[in-house]
Amino acid sequence: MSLSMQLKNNSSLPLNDIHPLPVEEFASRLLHSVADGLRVSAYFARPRQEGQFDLICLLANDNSGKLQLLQTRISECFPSLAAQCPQLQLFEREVAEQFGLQPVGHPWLKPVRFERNWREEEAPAPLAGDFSAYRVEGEEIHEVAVGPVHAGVIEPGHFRFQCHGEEVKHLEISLGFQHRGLEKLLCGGPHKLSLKQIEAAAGDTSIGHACAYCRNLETLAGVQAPERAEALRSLALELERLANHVGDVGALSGDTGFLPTASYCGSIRGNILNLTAELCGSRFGRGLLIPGGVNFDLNPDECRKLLERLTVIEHEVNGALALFYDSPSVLARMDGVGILSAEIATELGLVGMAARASGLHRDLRLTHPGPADGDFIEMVRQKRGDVHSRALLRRREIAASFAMVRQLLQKLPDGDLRVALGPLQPNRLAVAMVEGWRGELVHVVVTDGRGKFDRYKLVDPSFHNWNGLAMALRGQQISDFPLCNKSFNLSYCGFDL
Amino acid sequence: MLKILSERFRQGNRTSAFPRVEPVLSKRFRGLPQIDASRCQNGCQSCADDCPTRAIELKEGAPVLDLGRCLFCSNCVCPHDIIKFSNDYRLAVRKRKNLFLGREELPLAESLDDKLKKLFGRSLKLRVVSAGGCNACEADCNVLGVPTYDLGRFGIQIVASPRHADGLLMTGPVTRNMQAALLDTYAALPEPKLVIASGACAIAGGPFCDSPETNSGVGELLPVDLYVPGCPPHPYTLLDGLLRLLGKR
Amino acid sequence: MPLSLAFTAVGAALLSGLLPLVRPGSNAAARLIAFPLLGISGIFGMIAGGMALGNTQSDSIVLPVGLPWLHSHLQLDPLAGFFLAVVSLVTLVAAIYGPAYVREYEQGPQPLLPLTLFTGLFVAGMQLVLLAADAFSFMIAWELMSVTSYFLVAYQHQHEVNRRAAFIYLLMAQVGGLFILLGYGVLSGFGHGFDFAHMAAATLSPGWSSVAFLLAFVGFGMKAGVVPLHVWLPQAHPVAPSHISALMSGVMLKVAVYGFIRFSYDLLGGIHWQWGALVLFVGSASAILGVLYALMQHDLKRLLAYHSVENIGIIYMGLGLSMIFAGTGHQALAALGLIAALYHCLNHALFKSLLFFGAGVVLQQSHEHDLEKMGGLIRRLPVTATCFLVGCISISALPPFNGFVSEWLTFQTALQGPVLENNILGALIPVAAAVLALTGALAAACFVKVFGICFLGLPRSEKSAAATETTPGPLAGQIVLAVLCLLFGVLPTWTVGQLEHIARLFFPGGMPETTAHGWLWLTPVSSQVASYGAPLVLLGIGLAWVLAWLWMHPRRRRFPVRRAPAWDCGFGPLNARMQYTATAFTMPIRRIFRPVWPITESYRAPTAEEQGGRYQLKIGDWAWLKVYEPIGRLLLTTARRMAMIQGGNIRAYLAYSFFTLIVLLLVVSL
Repeated sequence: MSLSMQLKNNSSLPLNDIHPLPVEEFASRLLHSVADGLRVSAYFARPRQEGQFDLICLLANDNSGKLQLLQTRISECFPSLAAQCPQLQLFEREVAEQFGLQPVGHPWLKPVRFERNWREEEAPAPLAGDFSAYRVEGEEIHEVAVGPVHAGVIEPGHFRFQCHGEEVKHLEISLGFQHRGLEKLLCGGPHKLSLKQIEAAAGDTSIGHACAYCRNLETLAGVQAPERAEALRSLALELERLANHVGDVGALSGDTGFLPTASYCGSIRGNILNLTAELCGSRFGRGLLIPGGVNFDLNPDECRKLLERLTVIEHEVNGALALFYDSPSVLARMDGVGILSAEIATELGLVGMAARASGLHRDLRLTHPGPADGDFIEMVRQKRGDVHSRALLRRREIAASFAMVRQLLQKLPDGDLRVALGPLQPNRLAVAMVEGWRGELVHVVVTDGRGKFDRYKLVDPSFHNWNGLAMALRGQQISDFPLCNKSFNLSYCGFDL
Repeated sequence: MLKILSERFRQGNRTSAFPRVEPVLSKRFRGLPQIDASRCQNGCQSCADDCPTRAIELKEGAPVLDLGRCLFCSNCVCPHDIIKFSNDYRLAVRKRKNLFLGREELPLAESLDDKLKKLFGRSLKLRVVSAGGCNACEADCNVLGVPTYDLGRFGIQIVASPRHADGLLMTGPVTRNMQAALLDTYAALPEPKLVIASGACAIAGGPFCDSPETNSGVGELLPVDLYVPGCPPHPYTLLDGLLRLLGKR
Repeated sequence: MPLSLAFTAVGAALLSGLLPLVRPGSNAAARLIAFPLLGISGIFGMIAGGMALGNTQSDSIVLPVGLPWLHSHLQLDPLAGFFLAVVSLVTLVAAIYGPAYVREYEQGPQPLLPLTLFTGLFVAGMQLVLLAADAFSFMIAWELMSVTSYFLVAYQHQHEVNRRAAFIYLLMAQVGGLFILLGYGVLSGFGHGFDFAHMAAATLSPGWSSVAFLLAFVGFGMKAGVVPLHVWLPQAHPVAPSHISALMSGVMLKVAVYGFIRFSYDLLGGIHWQWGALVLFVGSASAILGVLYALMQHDLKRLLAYHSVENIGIIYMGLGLSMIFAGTGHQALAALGLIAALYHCLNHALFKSLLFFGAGVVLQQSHEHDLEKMGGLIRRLPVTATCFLVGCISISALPPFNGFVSEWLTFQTALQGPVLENNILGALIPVAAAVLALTGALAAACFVKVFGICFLGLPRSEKSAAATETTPGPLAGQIVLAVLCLLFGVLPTWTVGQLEHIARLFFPGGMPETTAHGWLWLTPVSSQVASYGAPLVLLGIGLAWVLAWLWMHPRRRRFPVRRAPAWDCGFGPLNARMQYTATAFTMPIRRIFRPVWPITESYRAPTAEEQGGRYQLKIGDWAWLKVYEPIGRLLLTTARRMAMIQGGNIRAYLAYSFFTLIVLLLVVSL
């Protein structure tokens, strides 16, 4: 009888099979696992009766492709492991904020989203931005505070720089302005609005989050979406990846002042979004996925037309990108700026593009593949971890995504579009992880005795990665901040939920 | 340099001929809903029941659809095809009550009064504030600056500081954490000023209309001059609304 | 007649120092007696100086005081008269500013008496230096000036820092005095007499005259504060009371310049152009290094002290150019250079005193020395801020104020370099002009920093937030100087006309072209080359203001102005840390000119109180590290070696006596 549970991506466990550990053993096993090379994918609390809580930790083993589940029972406080394991610090703060629990010994206990305590609905809510910023003392140090309302058309967030002249000594990021209470809304679901809310969790990753949600429900209902549906889901996911990467390169180009690529990529991104719109009517893929399958189909004629448009778009993208990556003035701006070393990336538990640009081996399509990831072979990685690496990574992923979309369009498997979804199994825990375009997004759902959501935990890749931006900016010029920020391009609302 | 020039020739001119030429959108695009109430069966509430945001109410046996709450998800399409989503992207209106779609046609936005049209008609600077938006509305608003839509040729520009702005374009359901900042931004705009609410979230809360952490849209917080429904509104919807507001359409 | 007025001035200054001794215990008595007498001294001095400036004949007298074979010669010629007027002007304004300012010192541990005593003696000393016409009186007055200012610098002697600064100041003043004495020694040796008339008549070989020149250059340069002899300036000026700093920086440095001019132009006679090249080089170095060091300071008074180094550099550049042209036979241009230097002496006295007065008020009202702790003072001290702004604009050499005129004249002199036949020299002089231009730009940057950090924005400390405007006395002093800055900027032609009297002493041809086009136009070389119509500039500025006001005023009623809080990105309360610091402002310059300073950056790791750690930047002075500390170490090692003589062994001492006796017998027998 193993005391820690193992499961795979897109699978579920009965709750009875999960044996809660004593707190000390939970802590020591967690630290051992991290020392062995596993990483924390999710860590959250689930309220039980009489003021007790289940503390659940999901660790991902990229080598074996398995997920390790650890659980313990706590009441008011729990030992903080953040000092030894920095990946946990934000998760522990989130648990403290959501339920008022105390992580004992946490080195940096601060608000995460300024969220109202779930247990005290009548209490006054915390005020966003009301935190004491980390200060570097010294007469020559001044602060620059930006946000929430920024100069561009972008979501709100607050950045506090401790600067000496032009050099940034430290950056502190305080978010929470987009908090809509998504996790709380999902409790008791699935409701009629749940899928729509998930699609709007992070608006540019609608397909990624909807995919994870639908797969979770399918796992809980014990069904599997048909092959054709999964292939269409993958197609939409890759189109989403393409659109965002092309848009990012355009934005990077605009930030370095290289307008040709900025203009071309801006237009081309719209063309790629229009491909998604051809598929389902919405440029962001809303309304495409449904638990059980997909809502829209492509007949061979439509596939052919999309392929033709794709070829033209690929040609245009390559032309625009060639200019950007060849221009010495652009490279001078990006080279060696905002370096995030592999050690720091590992310590902070970064995922997705930012991690791969620092040399980490993290792509769910390879390590924890989903139903339609069978053909995925090549993980794109860079070594240096600077803005140039992240930009180059995007170029290579764009090329890989074009190849995958072409392959999917040419060989869509036959079959139905959806299966009927029965009732959800009660008292189970299900996990779905999807490699969205930013990185790994994790949905963990626990159902209660009636098969309704007792706790739905979403972890967007931005939750892990915002700290990466803060570390990458140390020692950099403050005028390079927009460039670094754009090179990460993290989601504010994915963090804020 | 030569490479840049040759690439420019290859990429060509991308600016659409809108508004001279109507844009061609995807066939599956869900634009203006058309309600054919005459075939409605008595007592059937399926559209109202299926709508996730309770945007449909039955009045006198016919469904009335609140475009401000509508997510354009097409859950309400019933077997009798009473509600159908057309390809019409023109959705922007001036008043909240105009968004209730029933038997009459949708009264599209008319232009500003003469005084404001004189001030803003040829140069309108907008400050975009995302009050909790999911980034889709923001992205599709930002995209208006790319050569395809080219907002600048209409004299409209997105500016960095509210002090430079003539109008506030807001998206998002106005989360509790962002409410003060939104009101501060509005106060920082010099008079006279406009407010444009873009997206289902901004008008009535969108998918988060029931969340206690949001204000369910702009509501009574600010006086709104233009409502643009959609989730997210297509860039042409927003552009069409802006041009109508300035009397260019 | 002017001389007797000058004597009255000296007497009044002496009385202002000595009279309060009658009532030693009373601070109020000291204040009420000393400052009015100082003011009287100033008035008489100004009248005497003004009259002497206009006279073609100098007024002289021989007093039967001093050494038995050397009576005291005193003389007031246009050169001395000009400097006397400048000294007395600043003294007068200091007397207006002083009384309310020194009230603060009455609450300190020292009595007021030493301050007033030594101030009076200091002013008297300076005036006597200007009047002296023989080496002995000159040196006595010079020492009086140095020693009294030592006591003034050491006034607040309870702080170790002040004592050390005063010590260094005294040390360098004495060393400088020694060099000057040696210089006079050489001249009197050849002239067979100690009075200036004999010295001027002496004929020296080029070698010896260069020796004398170098001795005087080092000696007077040490007092004037040229690089690398300037290290006492940034130490002594911050610790002295502000009106003393104004007197020291504004006029004492000019007395040194006077000494240098008197020595080189009057007493030495034939000027070699090589001397001019040296002076030009040292002046350029002082100007650029002075301003670069000033940029990195964030103690307000130390910053102003480094700026004095810069401005003395500019004066020396003018003198160097003048000497070069004089040595190569271009008399009119030499006169122009001299006039430019003298004009800058006047201007610097005015605006530097203004800035020091303003700094004094700021320090007194906000109790902060450090720029990084100030901010927002324009709302708390509006009049001081305006006067300080006038000082900043003047020192940045912007029209219509006075700094512009003297720097422009220096530029015009430099731009005439091509007339020289020596091509190397003719090519190097525009380099000096470029250095001057760079200096001007950096000075402007520095004062943008000073004014911006000190007066604008939000207060960075509670003490700054609580500052209030000062009493009318200091305000009046500042306003007078600010108005004078404007006047001397708008009436340059009249001023140059007056200064020409001095130039004619040494260059009989004068500069006829300069004022040839009436009071409106200043045309230094000729009207085709360059001209400046200062009143027109002022008129233009005034017209622009009036037009702007006329255009905007009716619109105020149509478009009512709404006051709203500063835009803060929707975040909420802005705090004082969210604004630029002085060090941050100058960071780009620090990066470009990195080798100029010895910089130490340190970061202390986080502690319980300082959770973010502490970052510190220290900027030193290379002159101190590379020149003076080695000299100090050398002296100490030499002294230690020589101390070996004093072994304590009595047999050795007996041996010393024995051998000394033998040597003496040998010497006597030879």
